[in-house]
Amino acid sequence: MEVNCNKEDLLYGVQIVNRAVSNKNTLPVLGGILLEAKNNSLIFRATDLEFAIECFVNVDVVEEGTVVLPGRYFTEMVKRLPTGLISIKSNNNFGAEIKYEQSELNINGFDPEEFPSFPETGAGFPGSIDQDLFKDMIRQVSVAASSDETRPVFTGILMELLGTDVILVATDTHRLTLHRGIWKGDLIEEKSTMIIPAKTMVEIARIISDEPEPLFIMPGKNQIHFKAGNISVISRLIDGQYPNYRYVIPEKDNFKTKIRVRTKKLLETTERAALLARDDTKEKANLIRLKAEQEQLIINSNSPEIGKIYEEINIHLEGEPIEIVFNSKYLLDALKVVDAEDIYIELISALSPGIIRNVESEEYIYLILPVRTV
Amino acid sequence: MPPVIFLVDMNAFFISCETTRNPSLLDKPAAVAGDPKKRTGIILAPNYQARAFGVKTAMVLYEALRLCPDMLLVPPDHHFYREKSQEVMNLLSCYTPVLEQNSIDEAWLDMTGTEELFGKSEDAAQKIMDEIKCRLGLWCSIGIAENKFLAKMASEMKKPLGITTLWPAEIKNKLWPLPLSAMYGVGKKTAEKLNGLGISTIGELARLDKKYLASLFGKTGLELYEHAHGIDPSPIKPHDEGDMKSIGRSTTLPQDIDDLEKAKVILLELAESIGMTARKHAKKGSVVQITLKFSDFKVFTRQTTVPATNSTKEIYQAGCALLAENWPSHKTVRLIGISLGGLLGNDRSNQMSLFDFYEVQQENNKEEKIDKVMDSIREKYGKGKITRASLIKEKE
Repeated sequence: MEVNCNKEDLLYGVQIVNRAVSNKNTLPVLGGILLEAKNNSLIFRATDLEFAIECFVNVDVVEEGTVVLPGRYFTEMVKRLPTGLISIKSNNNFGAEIKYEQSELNINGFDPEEFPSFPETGAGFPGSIDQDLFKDMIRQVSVAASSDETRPVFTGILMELLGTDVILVATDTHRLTLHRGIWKGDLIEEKSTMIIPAKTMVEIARIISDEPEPLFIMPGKNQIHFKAGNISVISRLIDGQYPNYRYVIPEKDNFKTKIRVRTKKLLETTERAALLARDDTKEKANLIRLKAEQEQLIINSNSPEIGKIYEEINIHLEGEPIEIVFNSKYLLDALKVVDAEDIYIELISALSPGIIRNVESEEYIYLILPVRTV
Repeated sequence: MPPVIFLVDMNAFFISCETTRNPSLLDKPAAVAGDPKKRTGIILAPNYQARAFGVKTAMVLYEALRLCPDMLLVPPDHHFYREKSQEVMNLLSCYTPVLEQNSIDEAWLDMTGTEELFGKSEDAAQKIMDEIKCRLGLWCSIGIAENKFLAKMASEMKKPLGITTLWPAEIKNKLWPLPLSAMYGVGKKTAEKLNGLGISTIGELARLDKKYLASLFGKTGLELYEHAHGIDPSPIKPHDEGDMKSIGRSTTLPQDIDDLEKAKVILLELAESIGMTARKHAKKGSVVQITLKFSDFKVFTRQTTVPATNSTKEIYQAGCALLAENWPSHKTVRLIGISLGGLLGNDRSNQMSLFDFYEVQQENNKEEKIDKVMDSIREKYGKGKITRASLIKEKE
């Protein structure tokens, strides 16, 4: 293999795929980035077997071929190369010779035969979703995914496609996020449901565009393939039954209290209150108490050893006054990702799930469960 | 104002309780005793008539009967004693809010500053004693001193129905002549060690050098020195649930067993008792530990972590899993114990869960309700009135 390319293209490719480089030592070749020169492009690929990222850039291919170079060293090296033309040529013992300016370096690699092939997935859904939208959806939904590996389904994000709907759902059982996005193109006639590891989804959000460019989705049996321009991500799917989330989202009519509040105001207050809500017992429930009455929201928290806080903010209250206790982390997460100037907090009772959402839309909801204090 | 501490010690408590509901025991030698067929066949509490024959607490049954062949024996009913004890404690708490229950039949009372209410200490003590005698039909002895240790020592000096003071000026005459074995907090081993040094009375102990005692017994040595001088800075700690670290129950089996199924039944019984205590104090624990003692007296413990619970069923299930995993294949088991640790208050916050909320929670609620109903029935009508079907024993 031999290619000539410029530093920016090389760095772009390496940085896109480098997050999929495995940092476990079980299979050394997975610590590498595969470079394949073919039809005037250079393909970059990395995988940790959980997910794989592939991307390509156009280069001048002198000789087609493949080389696998150690991901970490290669990435760090490319970052430090001078701007300008760079030539990469494989040598006979799986390594590569990299030339730039008047210099050259040699880096040892792995046998490309050992590198896992990119799994094939079936034909995609007809149509696409805008990348900028999908990016926001992932960012807003993934906060609620669990990191508890003992219940794998909750470490994933549920994706449902039907008609013109793309729904993402995540929950760690204490809160649940749901975002409904729009599928562009033909209607998806048969409902398709899959659980994708939240970690992969976060990586997808990182590498896709901030523009409304199309993202194509190709489901496979055990994998799913996302394609955004010159980038492909293939992820393992999580096997298992996702609980029926519709069941736990309260009906609109059930809400008894509706609080309209300025997000920034409540976020700042909650951040202060959270500081004084450290709980050193094992439960790690950092409790803050909200009390809505008339046009006031009273926020309280206290930590016997540190101190206590009392704040009042102006709200618009519809319905019944209420007093409810939340884990401050869950409330903070909601306020940070909701992306709205004003939000509604809709509540039923002190012991029922509540919903936080943008006053202007219902595409995204953040369902939060209170803390029972007797 | 110097502190005034009472130690109220119920005399021959178990048998006195029995006498209150069975007057035929009155004026006859009688004792509460374990079942002679079981290994627990010892005297638990002889009354004063039996004591006159030389019968003592913890004496093996047949030996006691040799001393006093006509002694009436009553099997223990701990539930009843606990009830009675609670009545006593309730009565005592009318005299002071600062009360530390030391065991089922004794408690320290901080009576400091109650002179205006109840008069002189001795009069107040007399009043307490009379009230316990009239209202509950039980006898007690009361020790009066400036601290817990001296009050305890004083209460032991005159039994039954004694009121004894042990003020600082009386230490020399009342405390120092006593043998070490009578000193509260001195066990057999400590006493032997001191006897070996030629120390046989509390007075002799008091004359020892503080540092020397510390070098011999460490921290305990300092405490011994202080106690011998009538010093005890330990405060009266009203028992609240806050200081409960774990709840444990164990039982020595009438016969060694090798049958896991039998062991499970016993475990359930123990778990039930733990669950009841935990629920009573509104505690939930997250560590379940089992203890097994084998026929060769080797002790074995294993523990597991569970989501905080006080449900009998959950404690039992966790214990059962441990038991099944660790059941010995070639040894028999002599003692089974289980405990619930990592206790947190029930009233502590409880982050609610979505799916539990609708599914698991319903199941839990059912168990919670069963436990609650059983607890209240037992509270009202006694422990034996309701039990789990698997615990019903076949009539022998």
